Amino acid sequence: MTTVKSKTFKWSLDFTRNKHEKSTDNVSPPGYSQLAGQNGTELTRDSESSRLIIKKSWDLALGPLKQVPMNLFIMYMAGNSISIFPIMMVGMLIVRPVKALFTLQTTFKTIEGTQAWGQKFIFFIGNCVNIVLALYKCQSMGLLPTHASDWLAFINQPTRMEYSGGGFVLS
Amino acid sequence: MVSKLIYAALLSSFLFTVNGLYEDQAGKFDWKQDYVGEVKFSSIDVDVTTKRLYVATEKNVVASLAIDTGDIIWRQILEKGPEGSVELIHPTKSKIITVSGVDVIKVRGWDVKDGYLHFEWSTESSYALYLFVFNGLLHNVYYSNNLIAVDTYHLETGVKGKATYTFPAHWFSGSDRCALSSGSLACLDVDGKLNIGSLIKSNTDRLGLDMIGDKIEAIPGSPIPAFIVTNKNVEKLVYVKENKILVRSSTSRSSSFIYTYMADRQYLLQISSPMQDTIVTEGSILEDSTVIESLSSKESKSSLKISNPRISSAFCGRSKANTVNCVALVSTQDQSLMLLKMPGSIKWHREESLTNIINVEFVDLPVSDIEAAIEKEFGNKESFLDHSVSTGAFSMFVRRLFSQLQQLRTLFATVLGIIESPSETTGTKSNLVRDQFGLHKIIVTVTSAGKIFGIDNLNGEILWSVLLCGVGTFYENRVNGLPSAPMHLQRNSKHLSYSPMCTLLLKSEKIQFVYIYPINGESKNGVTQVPYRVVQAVPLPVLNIEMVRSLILFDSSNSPHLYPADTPLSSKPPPLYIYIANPTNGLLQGFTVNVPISGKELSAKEVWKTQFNKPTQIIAIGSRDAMEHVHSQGRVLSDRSVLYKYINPNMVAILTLAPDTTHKSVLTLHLLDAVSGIIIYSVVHKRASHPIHLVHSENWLLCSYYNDKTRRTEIASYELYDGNQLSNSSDFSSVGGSLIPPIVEKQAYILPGFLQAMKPTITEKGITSKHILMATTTGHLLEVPWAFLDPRRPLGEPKEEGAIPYIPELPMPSESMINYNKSLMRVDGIYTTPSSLESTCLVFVYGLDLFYTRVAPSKTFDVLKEDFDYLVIIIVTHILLISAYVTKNLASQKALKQAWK
Amino acid sequence: MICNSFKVCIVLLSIVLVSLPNANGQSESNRELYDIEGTVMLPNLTTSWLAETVIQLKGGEAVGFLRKNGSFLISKVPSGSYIVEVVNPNYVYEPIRVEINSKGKYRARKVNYIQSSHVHQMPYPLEFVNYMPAKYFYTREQWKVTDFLFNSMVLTMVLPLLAILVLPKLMNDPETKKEMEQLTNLKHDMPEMSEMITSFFTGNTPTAEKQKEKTKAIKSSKKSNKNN
Repeated sequence: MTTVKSKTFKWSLDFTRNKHEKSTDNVSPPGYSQLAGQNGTELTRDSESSRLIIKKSWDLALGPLKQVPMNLFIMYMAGNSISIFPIMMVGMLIVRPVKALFTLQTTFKTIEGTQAWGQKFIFFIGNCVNIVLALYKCQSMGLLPTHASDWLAFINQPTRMEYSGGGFVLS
Repeated sequence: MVSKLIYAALLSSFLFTVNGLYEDQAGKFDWKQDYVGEVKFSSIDVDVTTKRLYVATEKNVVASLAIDTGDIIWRQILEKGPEGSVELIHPTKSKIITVSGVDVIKVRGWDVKDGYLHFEWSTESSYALYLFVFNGLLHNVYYSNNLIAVDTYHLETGVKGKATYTFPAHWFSGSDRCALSSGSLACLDVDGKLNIGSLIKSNTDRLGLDMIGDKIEAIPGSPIPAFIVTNKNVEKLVYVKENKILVRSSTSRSSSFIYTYMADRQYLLQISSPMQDTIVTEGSILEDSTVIESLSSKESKSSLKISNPRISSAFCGRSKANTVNCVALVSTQDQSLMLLKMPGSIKWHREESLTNIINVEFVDLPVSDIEAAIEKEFGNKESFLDHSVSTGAFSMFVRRLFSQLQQLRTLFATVLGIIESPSETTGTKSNLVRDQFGLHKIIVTVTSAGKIFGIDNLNGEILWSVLLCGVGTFYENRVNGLPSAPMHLQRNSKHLSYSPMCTLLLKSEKIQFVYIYPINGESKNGVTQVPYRVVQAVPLPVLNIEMVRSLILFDSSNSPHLYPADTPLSSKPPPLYIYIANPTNGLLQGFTVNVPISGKELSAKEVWKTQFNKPTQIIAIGSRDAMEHVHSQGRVLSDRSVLYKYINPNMVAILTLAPDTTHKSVLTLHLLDAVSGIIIYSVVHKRASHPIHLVHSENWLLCSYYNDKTRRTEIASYELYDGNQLSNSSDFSSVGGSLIPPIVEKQAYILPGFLQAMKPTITEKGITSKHILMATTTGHLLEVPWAFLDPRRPLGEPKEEGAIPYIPELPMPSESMINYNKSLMRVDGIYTTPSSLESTCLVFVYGLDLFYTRVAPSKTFDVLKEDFDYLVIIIVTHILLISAYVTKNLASQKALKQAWK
Repeated sequence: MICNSFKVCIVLLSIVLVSLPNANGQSESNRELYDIEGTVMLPNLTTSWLAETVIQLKGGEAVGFLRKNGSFLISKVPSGSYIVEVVNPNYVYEPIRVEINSKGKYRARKVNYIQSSHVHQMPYPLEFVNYMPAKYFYTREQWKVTDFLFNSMVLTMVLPLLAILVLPKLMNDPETKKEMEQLTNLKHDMPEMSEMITSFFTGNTPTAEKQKEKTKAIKSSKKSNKNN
């Protein structure tokens, strides 16, 4: 180590120095063969990366489901009163999964593999769960037109089949 | 309990913030006009310091008017009806004394300056024939046991004078053939002799004159005994001077007045109106008939519409030029009041007949010419079928060019001031065009004096008046004996090529119609007569091809006629049913009328009949306003289900009153289907008496009455529901539908006061919530949200959101008195009409005073508030814009610097 | 006490008893007519006030007017129960119920529409002393800075802004930075569901896992070596 260092001149620049150091100075621990390691992992690296991809895509697929407890908490916090913030929250709760469902294909474009279908399915289910939750929230807030009263404004004034008129006799 | 009350108070305070005014809004869109009524007696006070007129009127009002302007200085309103009718006024130096009442004579002395009461005394006298004042004593003349007796009272204290003195009255021939003038009684004998006797002191002196007459009348306010004796349309003036009867011939059809200029010199002033717009005056010396030139004049004014003028009081003086000048207060048969300067002109003119409005209609103004042109070009074809507009591309283009040219021309013309405004062709005032929000309308009022007025609703200015002279008489309302004037707006202002048309029904030997073109009061076709007696007039639901809403007229034999006759209808009318109620015999009849599209050969058939037997009297019929729309068909309950309203457009409410042995009087409300004749619901109120008011709107009814048992005004509220199931959503039929009776919710409320009139607000689409306008006897116009009168106000804890717990007494907060301190006394009625703004309802209150305002029951949600701060909004947006721009520049500069670092 | 004053009232009364023959001339039972007297306290005793104040009996069936000293007289009313109201356009008075029985006894009481049997005696001749100016108008809201500042909307807008401005400054503090890091580390320690599922589906988990851990360990050891 010191020999190499002494070789260098005071003002000379050695761009390769670091490379050198890495390759030469690193002493492998006992029982470790670099070759053997390389040979062994050559096979596993492939499976490792695909595993990682699968893991990543599962991460993606499970994302919506993971949000469920958080959403439940938000819903609980938002309360049932109708004011600007709860409405905004509920709006977000609905819009996000719907958006996700619409962009399902693009999200899973990069993902291939044997489990792609299952991931898609889980992703879909997760978003559906979120939508259902949001709808439940809407229902409990009274925002869903599920009652007769919600359709009251659309009932038209019935047309008169007969006309009547009159009053006191004129005299 | 307390918490409940607090809750209610909170809620009510919240709800009441909905209506009410801010102080700066006072007088902004409301106006009030004070009137006194038709003048009965008057007196002129020409004292320089006061310069006033004192009048007592048929409306039982004593008032002081400024001589120069005719404005009311003070006004006191006496009791209603005969109890307060003024029989005599007597001016003294500092007081004006009125004698009023019939059975109980009340003598009151008013301060001339401010109108407060100086003294009051009363006495009972049920037989009083005549009253007069002489020498500070009130003389009460009555007839008993073939004697004419006179009681005297000291005018100011009421101390009864010496003994009653009597006269033998063998010549007294009944009050209709006698007249009293200036303390002398004149009677026409059956055998053609005129007897005049003085009632002032106990003497039996009697002057006699051979004279045959049909009628004798005293000349009002005459300082000497003076009478007009009519014999077969020949009028003679008879007066007593120096204990002698003198006779002077009098101009027929003119009214006379005698004014004492000097102790022994009398002027005879005569006034007549040969035409509606002309006043002719004539002055002469009473004894020798010498005409005084300066007092004789003839004046014409096109805006003037008067009939039968009469001088109520006068004052004459000698001017510097040694000519006689007079001022005369002239009242006319059409109840207008004016001050006439002789020689000279009419100084001011008051239309006092507006105190007797019997019918009101609001009429939309026509659109401006430019808008009309645009409408004509692009308007919907439905209403312009008559124009035969060709729709080719080229002709459309030519029309466009043409109309644009025209617009340019009018623009130049207006800029150059050649013509005042584009709407010159309508021939009316330039500003009389429809505004954006439909707030500017014309109030057409019919008065019992036979005068019709068109009033601008924004400022109360009288735009035109029509005097119905010799056309016919009004119908009589058999319930209250007042005249009634059925008026129908047959064509509104929406049809551009036709002028609006208002039709008024009058009666004579042949029934008459008067057309009024309601924008300028001119009637185009004038009076139309039909050869039958009309007993009922009902407008058709469809228009005829001339866009006229035809009337179905029922004649006395119950056969229908169409008016205007023989004009085909635009479409086949739906089945039509007409009901006629006769309050005299208690008969209610329903007819079905078959109206063919050709408008010819109508036929009617009686379908039902109901009879209310004799002591029961129909006192009111309440039907829904034909213009009314109901937006919401149900009511949302707390569990979010719907209670559907029972909205039967054919349902009418009939109120009957019957005397009862145990309960004094019983008021019954019947809800009747006018098509089928089925009584849907009936309810009885015991010991209910007048004043009774009925309101019927949407699916609810309000009935106010005075409860004799609990001695308070109560308002019974009813609401009708179909139930939780909507029976038939698309159409409503009274005959085909189910016969399940509706659910009736009912509740009664106490009104801490007395009602004069009651009316619900109405808006164009019926979305805005309903308020009830109530005029109380204390002169307030109260705006009460219907939610307070809701029969479903919960008795316990409120279940429905926003429901106010039941409290029997209605709140009357002063904030909801929309006429603030402009008290409205003697209100006869309230008229409400929608504007084009859904939020706003126009209100017109008539009676002794006229009051116009507009209300927004759910606040003005469709327009910006008038206190909207435009300046702040403009400033804020500009600041934001500028700051956004500046920060953008700053940010880019910073980014640039960062990049160079 | 009440009884006493009542007696005094009766004594004070000037009851005018005049028989009134029926209008038809038939001698029915004679109605007796009575006068109702009282005084009104006015905010200021100017003459215009006197002129615009009217006393109404039962909604205007009979009226009385104020004299210069604020007293009024409603003359010649038959016996019965009446509500007497003072009508003034600008002031509100509490109405009083007056009952005159057929013997001519007067009783004045507070108006109670709901419990009409509840009697709260008032002095007679009537004294209208409780008045208050009628408040017909609402006052317009004035714009205030505090109103603006404490508006919930403004607060919700301002507070996040503050958070954005203040929080980065806090981040510069090394200690908080550490804490934050720790927080993020914590997250990493949590078991990952996706990993579990992946392993569940791929099946060959345990060895690979171990190997992975090994490599990780090696790497970290390398790093630590280097640092040393």
